[in-house]
Order: sequence, then C-alpha cells, then structure tokens
Amino acid sequence: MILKVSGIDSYYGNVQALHGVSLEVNEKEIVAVIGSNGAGKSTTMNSIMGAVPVKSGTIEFMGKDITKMKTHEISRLGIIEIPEGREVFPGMTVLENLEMGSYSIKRSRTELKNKIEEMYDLFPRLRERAKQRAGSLSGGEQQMLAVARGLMSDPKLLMCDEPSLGLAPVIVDDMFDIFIRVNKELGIPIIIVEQNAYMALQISKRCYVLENGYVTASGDSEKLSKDDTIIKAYLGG
Amino acid sequence: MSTMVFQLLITGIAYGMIYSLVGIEYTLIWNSSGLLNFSHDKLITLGAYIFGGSMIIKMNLDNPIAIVLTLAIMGVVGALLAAGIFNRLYSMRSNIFAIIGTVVLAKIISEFIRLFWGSGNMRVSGWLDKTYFIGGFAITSANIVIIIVAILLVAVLEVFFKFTKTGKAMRCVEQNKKAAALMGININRSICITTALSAMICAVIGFLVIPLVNISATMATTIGLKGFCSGVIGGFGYIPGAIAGGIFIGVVENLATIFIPAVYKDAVSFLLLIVFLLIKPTGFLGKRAQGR
Repeated sequence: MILKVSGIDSYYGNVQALHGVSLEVNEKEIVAVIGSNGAGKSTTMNSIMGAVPVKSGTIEFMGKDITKMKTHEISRLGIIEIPEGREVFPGMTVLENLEMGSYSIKRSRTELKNKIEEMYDLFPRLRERAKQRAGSLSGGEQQMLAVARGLMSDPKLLMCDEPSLGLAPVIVDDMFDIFIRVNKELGIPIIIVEQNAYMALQISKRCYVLENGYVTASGDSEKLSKDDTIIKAYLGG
Repeated sequence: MSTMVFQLLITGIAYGMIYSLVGIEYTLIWNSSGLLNFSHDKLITLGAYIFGGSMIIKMNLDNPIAIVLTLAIMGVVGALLAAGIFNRLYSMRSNIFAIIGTVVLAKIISEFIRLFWGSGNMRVSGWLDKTYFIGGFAITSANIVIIIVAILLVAVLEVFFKFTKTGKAMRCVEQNKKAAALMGININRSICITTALSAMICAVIGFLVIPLVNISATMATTIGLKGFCSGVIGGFGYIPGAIAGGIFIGVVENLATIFIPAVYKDAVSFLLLIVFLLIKPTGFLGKRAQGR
C-alpha cells in the first residue's frame, strides 16, 4: 500500500471540515475522490500535504507516519500535489518552472536536461512555449505545465486537485489521457479529486465519495458508476 | 549653468542609487514574506554603527576586515530576526500586526543603539571623504563609490536570482508560497535567507551613507522613507521599479534645488509620492510588475 489515511479529523480554525476520513491508495492505482463543492475534497488533499492540521487519525505514506510533517518535507518524500487552480510560478518561464519542479532532487545538468526533454515529449506544447512566462499561457497549457512540473521530481504518488476546473472539454479529454499514460507508462499511482464525477469514475479503478466531510461511499469505480444514488447525485441521472 | 546641472545630476544619481538600494531591500522583504519592513532604516543605522562606531573608531580595524565582519554580523542579525520575528508575523491573520511589529522592532533597535553606542554623533574620518576635481566640477569619492557599488550589487542580485538554486527558490516563494512548498522548498528557511541578505544590503547602505551624514540614531530615517517612496513611484514589489524610482527621486530632488531653496529638497520626494499615489498608484513600471 502506498498511502493509508486512517480516520482523520481536520479543522479550519474551530470548524471541523473532515470527520474520520479514511482512504487508501495501492500501487499503480488511479483513485478518484468525488463530491460536490465544499464536501472536503481539497481539505483531504491539504491534510495529506500537511497544509491543514490534522487533529486526530493518522496518515501513512509507504509505511511512514507523515501526519505531523511539514509540506516541504512530505513533498520531498515523493507525494506531489498538483494544486487546484494550477498555481504555476507566473513570472518564471516554462523552462524555469520545470526546473523548479526538480528542486528537491540532485541532478546533473545533463540529467536535468533529459528529464525536461522527457516532459516536452509528453507535452509537446510546452516545448514550443519553453521561453514564455508561465503567466502568459492559456489555462490548458498551465495545467499541462503544472502536471509536468509535478512529474519532474519523479513522484511516488501524484495527487491532482480538480484538474478539469475551468478547462474546455476537449482539453479535459487530453488531460485525462495524459493521466492514464502517466499511470500506465511510469507506473505512478494517482489520486484524482474531481467535481467532474463522470470523467473521474471513468479513468479510476476505485472511488471515494465525500459529503460534508464524511466518506459516504467507496469502492470499485465501475460499480459505483452504476449505483442509483451516485447517478442521481453526481452523474446528472 | 551646465556645469551646475551636471554636478547636481551626478549627486542626484548617487543619492538616487542609495534610495534604490533601500527600495530593493524593501522589495526583497515584501516579496518574500509579504511584510512591509519599517525597521530597516534602523538596520542601516545598526550597520553603520557596527562598522563605523565599533570596528573603525573603537577597534581600529582595517577597512576591508571591518566591512567583511560587519556584513557577517548583519547577516546573522537578519537571519535571527527572520527566525524569531518575521516568520511568525507573516503568517498572522492581518498584515497590521506584522507592520506594527516591524515599527516596534525599529524602536527596540534604536534604543539598543542608544544604550550601546551612546546618543552622540560620530564621524568616521578617512572613509570615502576625498573630493576629486575633474575639469570644472568636483566629484566626491563617496559618490563614485556609491554609483559603482550600487551597480555591482544590483548585478550580483540579478545573477543570484536568475542562476542559483537558492535564488530561484526565493523567487518561487515570492510568486507562490503554496506551490513553492509543494515543490519541496522550505519557506521559513527561504525567508531567513532573504532577510539575512536584506540585512547585509542594509549594512552596505550604512557604509555608503556614512560620508553623507554623521553616524547618529536618526541618520537613515529620511533615506528609509525615500527608499519606500522609490518603491511606490517605480512600482511596488518589482526590483527594476525600485531602481528606476530611486534614481528618479534622487535626480529630481537635486535638480529641483536650482529652482527652490535646498532646505525643501526632502519635500520633493514626498510630493512625488503623493502625486504618484493620486495619479498612478501602480508606479511607472507597475503594469509590468502586475503582469509577472
């Protein structure tokens, strides 16, 4: 097992945002976390990343307790979050953004260059834009950059928070294809947090449904996508 | 007439570069931690006292040794300030706490200076006090050194931020703290380094202003405020803006003495500040700063 979140309670100030949330990610698996706005999806991600304090419960990553660790320490262990809203470094070029993605890894100049080439092969658009400031890219391009920047550090687990938010449907399709490729070709397990439940259920193996800070359903994505309550609540049935 | 204009222009550029350095220093702290540091004129004063008051006058050290030692001490002071105060202040709910914190810090430093060095003025003889006559006009060694050191310092900072890993990490923290942490950058450590760097820049400014004003507890007050003005006029949070704003203020206030009595010189930069805040609050390079 790569990641094991056991019964965590998280708070924003005095407001409890998560109630005993548990989830697991196994090797080479794509796991989806779906739920409506404010259900606690991003809070779950932020709790895993150490950005929101966890009051009780534990988070284990590859057998190591990371519950109380700081964000940069967790990132160095190999969990990379691609945050909601991309969060690229707007004043830096695409190339510089990619270089910063490998900040926590010691690489020689050639190794770094090869890694960047690898990303350009995965996202040819980024090669064309290499010298442009990231702030001047389109939303889809920024999302590609955010994913590529995340992959730069050879993550052991990738977490994508709302990757489809604000993107055109065509680009969303491309994006999800990329995730499938990353998962298949590089063998990296991925957590996808989405309001776009249809897409998330399609590409994931297993799925967790969050409501008001509780996990209300979980299991095989294929089965869940045929479940009546899920269809009613999230698939517009 | 033209000699006088040229003379004022040189002085203006030299003073302007001091303001620019102060503005850069403001910008560094602002960008890295989101703090407006109102204690930094006292850090400039502290640097000048450590260098002039202790190392040169009391201990009679050679200039280069005194410079290196002062820089080292100020670097440590900066890192301690970050670890003890700034890192705690930047994460507080309102900026007001942090700003008041830096104002109080300024008081503490200036009282420390009064206790340690006394309240009298000091003069460092033999430090950048030569005057050269070239053609028809005079140029002081202080002005020459200020211009050279400022240009070098800006160049070094530019290289540091563009090409070193630490420098790039500092830019990341400045642009997006959340993403920087996600990349594995230790934000608190980065702010420590930035503050140490800015305290060292304060020390350099201290060295440079010693020949212009006596060493005293209030020596850097106007310079500190004008540095803030240069940031606003050039475009706050943008280093090229601080440089442009500083030189602009320096040149304008010195050229203004052709038309107005020299005692009103200091008012010019504050007048410019008000005009810019009313007409172009983003400063003249502000658009580019926002597009970053």
